[in-house]
Amino acid sequence: MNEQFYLPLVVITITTIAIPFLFHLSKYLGEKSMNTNNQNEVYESGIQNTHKDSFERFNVKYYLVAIIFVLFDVEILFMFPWALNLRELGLFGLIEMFVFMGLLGAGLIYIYKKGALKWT
Amino acid sequence: MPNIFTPLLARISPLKQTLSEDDLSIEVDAKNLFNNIEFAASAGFDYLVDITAVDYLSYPKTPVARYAMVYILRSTDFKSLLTIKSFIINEEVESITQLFKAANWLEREVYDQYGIKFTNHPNLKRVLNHHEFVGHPLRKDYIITNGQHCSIAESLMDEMDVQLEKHNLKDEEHMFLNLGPSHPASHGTIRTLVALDGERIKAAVTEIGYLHRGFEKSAEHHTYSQVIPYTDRLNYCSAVMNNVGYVKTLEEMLGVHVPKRAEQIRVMLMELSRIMDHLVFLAAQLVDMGALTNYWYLYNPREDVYNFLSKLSGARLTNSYMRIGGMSHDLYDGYEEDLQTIITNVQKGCADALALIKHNRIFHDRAKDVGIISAKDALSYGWSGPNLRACGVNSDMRYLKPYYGYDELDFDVVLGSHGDVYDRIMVRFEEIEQSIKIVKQIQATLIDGEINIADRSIILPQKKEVYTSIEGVMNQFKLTFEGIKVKPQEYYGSIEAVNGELGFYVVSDGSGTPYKMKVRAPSFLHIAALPEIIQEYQLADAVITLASLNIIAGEMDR
Amino acid sequence: MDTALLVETVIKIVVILLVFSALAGFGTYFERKVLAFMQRRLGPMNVGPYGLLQIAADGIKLFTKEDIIPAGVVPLIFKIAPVITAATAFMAAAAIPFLPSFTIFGYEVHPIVADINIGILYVMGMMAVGLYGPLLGGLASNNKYSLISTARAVAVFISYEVVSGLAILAPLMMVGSLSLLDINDYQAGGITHWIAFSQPVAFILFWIAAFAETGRTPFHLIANDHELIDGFGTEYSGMRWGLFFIGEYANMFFISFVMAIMFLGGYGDGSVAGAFALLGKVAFFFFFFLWTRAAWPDVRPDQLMWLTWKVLMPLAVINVVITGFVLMF
Repeated sequence: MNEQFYLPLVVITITTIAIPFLFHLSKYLGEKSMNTNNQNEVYESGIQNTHKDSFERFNVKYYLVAIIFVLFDVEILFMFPWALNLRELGLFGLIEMFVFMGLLGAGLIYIYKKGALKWT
Repeated sequence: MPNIFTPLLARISPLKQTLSEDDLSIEVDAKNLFNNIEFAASAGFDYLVDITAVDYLSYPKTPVARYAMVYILRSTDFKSLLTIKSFIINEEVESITQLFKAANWLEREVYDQYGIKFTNHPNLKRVLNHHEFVGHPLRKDYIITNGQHCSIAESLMDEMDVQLEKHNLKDEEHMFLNLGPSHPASHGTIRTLVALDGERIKAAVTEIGYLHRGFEKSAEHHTYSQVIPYTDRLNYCSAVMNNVGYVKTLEEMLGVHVPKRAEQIRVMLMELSRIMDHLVFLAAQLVDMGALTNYWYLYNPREDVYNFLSKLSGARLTNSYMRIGGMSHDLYDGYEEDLQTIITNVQKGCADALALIKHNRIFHDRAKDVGIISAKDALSYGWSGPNLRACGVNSDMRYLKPYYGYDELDFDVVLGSHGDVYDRIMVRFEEIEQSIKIVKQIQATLIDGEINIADRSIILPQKKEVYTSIEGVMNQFKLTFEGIKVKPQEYYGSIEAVNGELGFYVVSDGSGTPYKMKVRAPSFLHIAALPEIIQEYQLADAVITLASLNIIAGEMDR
Repeated sequence: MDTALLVETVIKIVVILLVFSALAGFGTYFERKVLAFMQRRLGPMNVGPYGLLQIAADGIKLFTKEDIIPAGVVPLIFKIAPVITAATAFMAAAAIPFLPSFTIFGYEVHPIVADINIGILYVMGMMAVGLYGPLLGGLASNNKYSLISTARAVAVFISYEVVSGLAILAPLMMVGSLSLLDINDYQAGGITHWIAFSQPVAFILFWIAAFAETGRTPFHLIANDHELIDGFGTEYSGMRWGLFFIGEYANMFFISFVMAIMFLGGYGDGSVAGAFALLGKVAFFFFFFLWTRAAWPDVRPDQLMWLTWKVLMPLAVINVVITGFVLMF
């Protein structure tokens, strides 16, 4: 491994995580929290008498999108090395990738037809 | 007698009837009340204007019973008014919710204020007052100073359960979210509890009353003139409009007509108020879509109108400029220039805002086919004003039942076609243009002359007279302390206000204070339809739909 | 050697952190001023000359605000979430060459923290990790608005991840390297060599995706104040909220840098003029974010998703295919 590349990354990771954590100390700068019940009430348009809290289940209609995303994003990861080495791979590589993308496109059309892209 | 009343009177045999011009008021027996209203609705009176009750406990002439129900209906062409009154003995009436959707909330209000129960009502609970409130404030034996401290908000799940049941959604899981009262989208203090499935609204329940201050109760304890400042607070975006609506009703009760110049000034100020209110509406509506810049383009010209009004009346927001029988004073010198500035700036502001959104695909996608209401439903809900006109129904009183010389003015009634958010926005843009047209015509034809009627029992004497003569002092004293005497009658008067038909139902007992006053506030009837409109739309649509109704909490909650 | 590298790296990181934290502050000032002028008003005027000290005032306010952790939240995650947003934004900056190399006191400085050869991938990856900020913050907040905001955030971010990934694929096929330095040098020949001209579709797709990933109008849905109050940030206050804020603005700057380097030629041949040109391009992109905010309404979440999956993504794929053919034949 090339330390010239990765040492800075380690350093920046540590610094950028450490400094924001230090920002949490800003609570000692201002007034001390009164910590009253009214103040700590979770906001829902000023209504305290709410039916359920947010830890109940919530129907995320577009959860399917997340699954589709996993599919497509992994494919894109495959494409990056291909894109870099396009010239070496030549026509065979190109056609191979297009077949792969054709499969993907078919997948997208299938998803579309199945109605998974309707999230209203 | 208009033909429309003939079949009505043939079928209904009223105990009493009074006919004036286009309007008929009848008194019927409580037993036949529902049937008579049903028949009236089928005989052409299919628009419910208002429902209220009168408590005759302390009325000088004690009638047959303590409570009377009053139903005000309008004919399909909006030209004739039918008032059905009925004394009720046992504080119980049959609900007319199956005839008019508007009756739902109006009856709830009567129940809330008078404690009259409605049988077969789907959801008879308080609407303006807090659910912890004890007693019924508009009953004459409820003492006005008897304040109550209520603090815990309802969870509203009882109403929500009914809604879910109705749509067969009881078994599904929903997230229940409160939009309002303290929410940027509620433009005031309106609470809507929505049942969400994802972002889709499956059912909704609206709660109002957060700004209820008992306008009607207060009015019963003030002289007629003292009520004028209260009316400013009804629709605070266009205060002068409410002033006019109120004093016009009173003048009609007194049987007086203000001079031509006063009429013209009133029309001018009303149209300026209309412009102002529509500007606020458009600004807020577009901000709710995220289009920030329009807000300032539309709000800055409104500032010019405010400057004009403050020069004119001394107050920016709550002008209290009108008086019964005229107005507090004449236009100031050099007002023409200010008027010109207003017109130029408003037109520029509207043109700029329109240029930003007119051909914007995002705006069209957001506003079109969202929050649709059919003309039939809108009428059943008692909608009026631009919201109803956006559905394609011409309900403009200025055109259909002209007052103050509107028939001599050249203006178009603006109609929409779909009844969606887009129509409600565009109708208002065009109405601003029409109002400018009216203001210009008034300015060109404004005649000289008196602004007040010459009746010493109505109009206060000149200050000079008050300071120099005993008659003047006495006149001022009597009018201020006892108020303007209005002979006993029950009258409903209305104008075409910004949001729709603003009506005042006044019961006078011959003294200087109103015995009863009921405001027919357009926003109250608009908001009642909200839960039904936003159903099956998304959260983001609900926000702009609410904004598109232009709910003004001041007049809605009163 | 190691120590020197370490010192140099630490100095660079500190400079980047300071400059971009400050820029995030100035960004808010510019945003207010630009929006104000577009909206015929003055913007901040009272604190300092032309309201310049407004940033300092805001900073003091954020730092000294009372520390509130609402009832019912998951405290640990609630505290970590803003750190993730801020940290990932700055970590992404490690692979971005902010200026061409220059010599100071005889010492050659490369204004890039780590010239890793997968630069653009690293930047995109880090920005993607930033999703965990809103995600965890919203889930831990015990607030329904935050929850909806989180759901929107996940859907929007991941959808546009696909678009931006596919969009940069085509330029990368031409360049043949993932390092931002190489991409910059590929376009060093002047304005005609800019990738924006040879890959206009990719450029515009990436630009649109940038709006979604930074959550700016017209895709300002995640913290849409008219619907969701402040979205995932509703329950946050003080500096924790400030961290979200800094993260968002830093992201706007960094994505502007990425766009300027990838598509508009970066700093060109590395001359002083080129360096200023880069800053000018970044300023333009940043200004464009503000301009759009002043001009357009927001879209609805489902319209946003419709746009990604049914319009932008097929376009991006077709763009890749066409690029492949053109490069081959």
